[in-house]
Amino acid sequence: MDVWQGNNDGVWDKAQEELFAAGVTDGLPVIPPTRERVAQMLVHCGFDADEVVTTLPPAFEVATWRDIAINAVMAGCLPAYLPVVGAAVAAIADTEFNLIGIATTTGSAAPMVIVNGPVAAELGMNAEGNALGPGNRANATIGRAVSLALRNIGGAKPGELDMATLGQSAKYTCCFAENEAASPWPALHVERGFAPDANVVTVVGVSGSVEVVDSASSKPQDLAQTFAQSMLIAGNIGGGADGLLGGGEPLIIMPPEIATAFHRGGCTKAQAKAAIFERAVMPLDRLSPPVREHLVELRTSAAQSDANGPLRVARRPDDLMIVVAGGVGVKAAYLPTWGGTTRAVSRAIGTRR
Amino acid sequence: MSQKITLVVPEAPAPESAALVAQRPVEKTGLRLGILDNSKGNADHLLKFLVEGLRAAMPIASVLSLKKLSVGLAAPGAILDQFAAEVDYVVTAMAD
Repeated sequence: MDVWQGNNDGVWDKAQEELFAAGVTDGLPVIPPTRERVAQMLVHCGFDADEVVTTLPPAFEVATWRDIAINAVMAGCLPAYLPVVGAAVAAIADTEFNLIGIATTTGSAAPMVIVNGPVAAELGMNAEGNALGPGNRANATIGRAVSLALRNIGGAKPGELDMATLGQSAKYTCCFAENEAASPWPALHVERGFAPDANVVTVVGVSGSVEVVDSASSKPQDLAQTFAQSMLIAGNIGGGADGLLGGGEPLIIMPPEIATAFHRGGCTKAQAKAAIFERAVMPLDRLSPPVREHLVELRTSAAQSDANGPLRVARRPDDLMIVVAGGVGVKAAYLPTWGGTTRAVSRAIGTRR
Repeated sequence: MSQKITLVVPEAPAPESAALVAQRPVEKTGLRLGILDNSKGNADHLLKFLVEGLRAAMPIASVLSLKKLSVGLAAPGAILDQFAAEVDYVVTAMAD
């Protein structure tokens, strides 16, 4: 491989050091946000630099297209990615997403960006093998741009407003596209009220990722049992008085083979959700006594009728989210949403050109 | 020959601007203290000790203790309104 060595390597290195020193990176090198690069991105998309896209918690600062483009440039985005980044930034700022909690919690919550519609293929996004892993520029840099915007515009800097005890790697970047072509079911954005050919981002506040593997089962009820039991994590009780496991909208990412097994067994997506929901029940005696006592006290304070009732992963089956992604194989993932209360939010991806 | 490039600031607002902080004059009779229990385990105990410590350190005219039932959601408007009307400062944000 021939390595490019330009005359301005020293300038590049100096820019990196300046940006690190200013505390505006995520710790990885960035593309220096020059006026020219930012202007090129804005002109490519036809956006007005001064147009306000949203107000971004936790610092509640105004985010213009210029602000978002600067962070997208730094993340390594191509100009064509900007509309997706902007839609995702607007989505995380929605009150329902509860970004002020997601961004400041001592927990490990991070925004995950899911892209649906033709734009995913147009941008070359990866919805197949390693969809959640490295190697695809659009996946990697769109997610990173959202994280940088949250840090630099929203003010969620580690140790200042981002008070995570551990954090998680998804706080660097977390973005993928649904594998709509290989899914037997309606896509996520269609379930959420958009037309099949609409371009949509959905943001989900995830607190981690658990691999779910069942290479022995092929019937829906058996697969549902494996998913359900994989979701019962005693250390993942949400902060609300109803005491759900997780944030109430658990996300399951199924590879096409698993989704197809459900489908061949006669399950619609709604039926698959119901089959998992009804099996995902944790009796309170599985909890440590102090945790159990605290939960019962909270439920009693909220005048719940059954303070000693079992824990569930959602209030209703439809609150489970199933997204089809990945390549060959049966390895799935369960991503609990942040227990401090958050709801997934979808936004249409706007274009000016 | 040295080269120079100009970088734009990715932060909002620009570092040179700063938000104004509201003035909160305290009456000589003492501080009207608000306590918001965020419902985390042991938050009530910690805040109780904190009130005792503040009482020993400064004149406290009154203490208004309220509790929100969700750790991760902001306090409801009614709680915020009551604090705004009745206290000078609020202590909250017990973490774990």
